[in-house]
Amino acid sequence: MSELRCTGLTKKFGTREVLSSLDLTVPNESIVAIVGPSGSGKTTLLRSILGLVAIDEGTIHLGDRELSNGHSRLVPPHRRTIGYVPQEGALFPHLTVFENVGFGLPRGERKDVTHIDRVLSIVGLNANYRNRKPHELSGGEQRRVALARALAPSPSCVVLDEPFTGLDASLRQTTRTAVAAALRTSHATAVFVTHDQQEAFSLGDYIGILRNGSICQFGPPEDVYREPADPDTAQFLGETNILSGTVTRNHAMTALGKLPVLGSHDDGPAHILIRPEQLHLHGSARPDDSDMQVHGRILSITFFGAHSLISLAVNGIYPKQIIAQHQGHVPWDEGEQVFISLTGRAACYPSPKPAPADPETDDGRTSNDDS
Amino acid sequence: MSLASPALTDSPRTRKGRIPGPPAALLAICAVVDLIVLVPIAITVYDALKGGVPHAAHLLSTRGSWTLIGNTVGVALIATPLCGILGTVEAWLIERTAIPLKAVWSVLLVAPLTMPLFVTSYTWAHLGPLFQGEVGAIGIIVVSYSPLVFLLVSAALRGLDPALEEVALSMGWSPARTFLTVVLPQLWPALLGSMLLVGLDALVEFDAFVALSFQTVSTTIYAQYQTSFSSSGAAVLSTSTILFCIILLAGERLFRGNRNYTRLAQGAQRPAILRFNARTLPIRLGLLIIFAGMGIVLPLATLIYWFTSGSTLAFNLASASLGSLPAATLTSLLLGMGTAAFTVLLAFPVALLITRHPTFLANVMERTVFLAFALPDLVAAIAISSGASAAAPWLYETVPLLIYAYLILYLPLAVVAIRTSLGQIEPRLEEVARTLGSTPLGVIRRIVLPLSRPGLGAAAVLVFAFVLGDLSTTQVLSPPGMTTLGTEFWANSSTVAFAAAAPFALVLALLAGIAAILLMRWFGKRR
Repeated sequence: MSELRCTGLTKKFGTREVLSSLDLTVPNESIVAIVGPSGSGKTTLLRSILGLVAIDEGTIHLGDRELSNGHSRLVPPHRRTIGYVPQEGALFPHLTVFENVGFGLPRGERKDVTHIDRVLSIVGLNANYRNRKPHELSGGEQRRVALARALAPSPSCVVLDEPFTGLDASLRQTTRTAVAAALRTSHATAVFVTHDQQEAFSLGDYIGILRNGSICQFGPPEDVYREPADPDTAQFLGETNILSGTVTRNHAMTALGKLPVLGSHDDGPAHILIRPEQLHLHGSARPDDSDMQVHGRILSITFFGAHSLISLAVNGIYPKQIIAQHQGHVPWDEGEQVFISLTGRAACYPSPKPAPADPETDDGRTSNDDS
Repeated sequence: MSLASPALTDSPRTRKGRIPGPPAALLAICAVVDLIVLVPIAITVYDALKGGVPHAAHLLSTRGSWTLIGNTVGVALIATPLCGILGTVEAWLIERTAIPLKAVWSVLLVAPLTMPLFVTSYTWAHLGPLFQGEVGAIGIIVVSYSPLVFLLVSAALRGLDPALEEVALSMGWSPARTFLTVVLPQLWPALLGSMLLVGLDALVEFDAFVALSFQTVSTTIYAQYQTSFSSSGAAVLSTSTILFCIILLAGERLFRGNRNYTRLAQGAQRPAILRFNARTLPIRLGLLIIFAGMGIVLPLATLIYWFTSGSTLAFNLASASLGSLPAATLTSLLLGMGTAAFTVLLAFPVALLITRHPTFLANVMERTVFLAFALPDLVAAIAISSGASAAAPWLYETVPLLIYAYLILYLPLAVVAIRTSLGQIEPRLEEVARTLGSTPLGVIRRIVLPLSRPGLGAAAVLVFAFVLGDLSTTQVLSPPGMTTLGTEFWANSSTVAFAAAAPFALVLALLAGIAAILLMRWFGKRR
């Protein structure tokens, strides 16, 4: 396996620039999740890497090999040795599982039972599946066979396009685990695109945020989540409260209270990012707490199972709503007053203009299908 | 979902760095196919203009010519839309409503297409004057060619996501409104494509019109050819049909606009909801009985009547013709299968080009193939035979030359059938195969060919059936002494004793039936 490096990728469809000077480096044997809203160019990026789309400018390298540059497609798709797991699997309907997995092997090895069984076992399928046809498999099994098919010829790199889209929740979880394990076992350098942040966080060693055709942030999932490059990215990655406040001596002052700042910031007005899980709610003011105590009125409670999201009206911030996350049972009703305290650190962004839109409407959830 | 698929936005027309542009090898092969098709057309046009343009213009401007051209174009203009309506209604009845014995009905509806037209029309001609002349001519075209519309439109209907219709119905729209506003626009490409074939066929139909004593350009060409052996007048007349053909080809393209028939929507994981309404069942069944009755039951019944119509003389005549039956059957079978094989071989690259690289050039190259369809069979045959006798006398009146003539005449049918099945292969499968190390040729061998097998089979069966149903080409080009089922039927039917012709017609009908069953099996497959 080897490092995949894209530099300055630009691709236009007609006058629309889908990729604009995109840079991306996928370190050897790591899994990178590219996450971005619909229409951000995710699929085009993958297709450029695969050689299915000719890029207009830039270069793509795999290890020392130059695969593409802006003037020509140097290496055609079939010589790139990059495995491809398309959306929905796209198994060859006229072939059995065995023949599907053996498809990319050299002619003499296509009947190699030991090798194909081993690849099948990597993705968590046993030899009983060998003679089944794709239409006899469940959605999750189809994705696994598609991955096995991509891994069988030992490619230098694997790309996965929305690998879990369309699976139901439980199947999604087991398939995700199986795919992650398989990618680790085969020491794959892998790129996958998704519009699901949870998927990106749980599967990627690194996350790249793709917006308007270029990678606007790249790093380990936790770093990206805690310290997004800008408020828009923050909102894309999950529920966020973005408040206006001021930074003084590495502390952010907001209407909700005072928090230490992540990294270092110049003093002055700023947008301050506080995740819902950093807010704690209490039924009464804690007397031992020396911090400023703020109270708010519960507007609505949304139940998610293990946790609930509570939206609050807080003096000085209202009409903007504050979103807090509460683990377990919520002992309050809508309309009740609760006290709010803060933990952790806050990411801050210098604010030349007032804070952006209401988090309620601009939350990170994108429900659209991709592409 | 397929509307927004990246494969569509990534169309070669808008692509700047157009990579998967048509490979040179594929373009070269298609160019050769086009050349093969263009030879008789070039000969015809040359013949027409040999006497100089004024002479040709003079021939065309006679009153007789205008009547003929009027007749020809009139029949095509009336019959083609009727075929479109009939075929679409048939497709809707079979694919979207609950009908008992669907498989049987499908075969009965397709059978008139595979049934030789000269047999159907001959039996019609004997039913009375109502079935002759203009009405008969339009009727025979509608009955015999609407199955083409039925085949292609029902294939498109099967590929359509029923959710669209369900949404419309859930909004309270009537089934009729739903069909007209939601379904029909999506069937347009398939409908126009098949109507184009029907229109071209109607322009040049010959055997049937002779049987029904209806005069068109083609029948007159035959008469001129028989009396004077001068191909010049015939050539001038057929140049006019070529012109109409070009108008039709361009018109269909214009009408279709940007709607693409090359990639059919990939959908319909579940069968469409069948709107069962017992009250309308008799009406629907009645329609099917009328459609199938005119096209297949009527001719068959007449044949059987001839065959069994009592008199010992008839029986003796029939048994006398049984002697030459085996040889004629074998010849027809071999000719049909040989032509089918060659035609599919040549049609495949053209269909591949138009579905995978639908550039302007590809469109022109594909449409060129259709040009020969507009050449009256007889004119093509004459052009080929005169060309051969001048340039390659050793080919004159040989089987290869005959197969060549069949091939260029029926190539468009094969292209359409294969094009439809190639369009149903999901593009992603071919891309995955490329990333797994298959060369473009390897993808064709390992993915495209296996997955388009039903379409290839359907194309072969169509061509086979049309070869069986051909008369004029065979008569002009067949080697001396060679007999086919068609020529024997004709030879015997022109005598007073129809019974002698019946055995040949029955074998033809039997083969047509088998062809119809195979066609439904391969082309009408439900995914």
